Amino acid sequence: MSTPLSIAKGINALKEQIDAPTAAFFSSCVHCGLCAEACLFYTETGDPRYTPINKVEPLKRVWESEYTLWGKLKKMLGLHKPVTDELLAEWESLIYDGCTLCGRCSMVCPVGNDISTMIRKVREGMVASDHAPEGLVGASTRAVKIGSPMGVRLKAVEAQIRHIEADTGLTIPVDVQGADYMALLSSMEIINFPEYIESLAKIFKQAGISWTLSSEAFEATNSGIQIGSSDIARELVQRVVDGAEKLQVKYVISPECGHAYTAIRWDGPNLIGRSYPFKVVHILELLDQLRQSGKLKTSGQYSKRQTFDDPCQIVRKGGVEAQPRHLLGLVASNFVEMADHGKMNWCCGGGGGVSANERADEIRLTAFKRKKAQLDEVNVEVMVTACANCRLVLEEGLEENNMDIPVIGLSELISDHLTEE
Amino acid sequence: MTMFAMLALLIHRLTHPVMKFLSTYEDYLVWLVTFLPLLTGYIAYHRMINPYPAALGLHLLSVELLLVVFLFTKVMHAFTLFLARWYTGAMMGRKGIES
Repeated sequence: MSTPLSIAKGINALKEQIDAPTAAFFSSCVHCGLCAEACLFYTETGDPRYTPINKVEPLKRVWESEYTLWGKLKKMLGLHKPVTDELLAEWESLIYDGCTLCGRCSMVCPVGNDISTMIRKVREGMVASDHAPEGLVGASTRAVKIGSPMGVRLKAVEAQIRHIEADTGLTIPVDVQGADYMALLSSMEIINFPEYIESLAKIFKQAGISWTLSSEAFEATNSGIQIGSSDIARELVQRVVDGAEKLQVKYVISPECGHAYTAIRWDGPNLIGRSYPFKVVHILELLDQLRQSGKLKTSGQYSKRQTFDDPCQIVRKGGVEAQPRHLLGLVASNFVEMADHGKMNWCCGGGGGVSANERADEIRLTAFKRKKAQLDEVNVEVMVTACANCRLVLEEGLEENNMDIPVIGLSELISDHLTEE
Repeated sequence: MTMFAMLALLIHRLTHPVMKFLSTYEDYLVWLVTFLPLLTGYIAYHRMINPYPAALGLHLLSVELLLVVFLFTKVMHAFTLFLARWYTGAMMGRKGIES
């Protein structure tokens, strides 16, 4: 699979990833093992290899032999442990199948190491040395060539728009120059949950929001972030930025998709090397703003016992924690929180590219036992979430465990309770 | 008391599967050089080794060993911790994440 050349490229890529914080993180780690308990892949398998800090071993070896006194001495004497093809092959499954980049480990580290960012860095080395899993390579290639990781073309979006327009009589604006908001969609929403598009149209119509989709930049998903290639991530962010600049919108709305928000809101300006002429808001942030300004009028309550599953990238890494609770307060009369909700919520097990990687299916379902345990405690009839990927992964996990709990998107729940005019 | 606590920590490190898996020789070295001054100090104070100057000498030697090792190992983080905390906090703050 790998050649000596690709190994050299991989090591070089890892070397480039080591910055001052990373070096400080490595020298700070006291091997206390607390991060293991924060990782669902460790807690559900009991295998110490899944300890988060162990997953960054390839990066650690490069740091040690290139940037530390002892490591350099050992390397001179040939006593160091080099990064080999075997090592990368073994770690590939830990890095891609056994990590969702959920960031829970970074929260518990007593010396403040941002372990999930370090794992993201190791992925750069994996991509450079041809050690990324097939599923993700396919998804990111499609994202670059076709424009969407699931191979969704503009025609498919237009078909969904026609369906929705025919069903509801609403208009879905496309390429409206000078609209205030440009909405992004994730492929999963276009294919599996077109209700999201309908919900946006309904809510924005009632609130009197001027919005549009872009025919050139409708896709929010950023496979570059998942596979760990800054080059791909940059290209995909640039597409959205170009689309938004062309339509001269004031805001770009990140959809109910976790890492799409991380990509466009947090990583984007760093990737393209400049700030945006527009602002990025998550759909839940926007809905909560509308609620505050009284533009979101709902009536009726959803009385089934329900809980909210916080998507890692939106809550833990994005800070959108209070907004979904405010919104649920409008429409959910029987709402319960799971243990560890909010910024310490457990991942569904399918984030960070795991759900796009078929090889990881088995371990993903094992890791789902953590979510099952959380759910068993609260005994709910319905789950609400705000990420199409979480939603699909949850649905699969629930089905596998014969749990009859429907999963719905929060925007959809809100739009179902809009006051009819 | 400190020695008992340190022994307990060592046993924990040796028996917990995750910690045993992660630990490197440096972790054990650091444990040893931190433990030795306590042990030799206890021995010297209670005159358990004769002659006394030899016991005191051992104690001083072990403290010097700790001070030498201090600079080159993780123990240094006892001081640099504050710098690291400030740095990580500033980074996270810039990302807009609630601390």
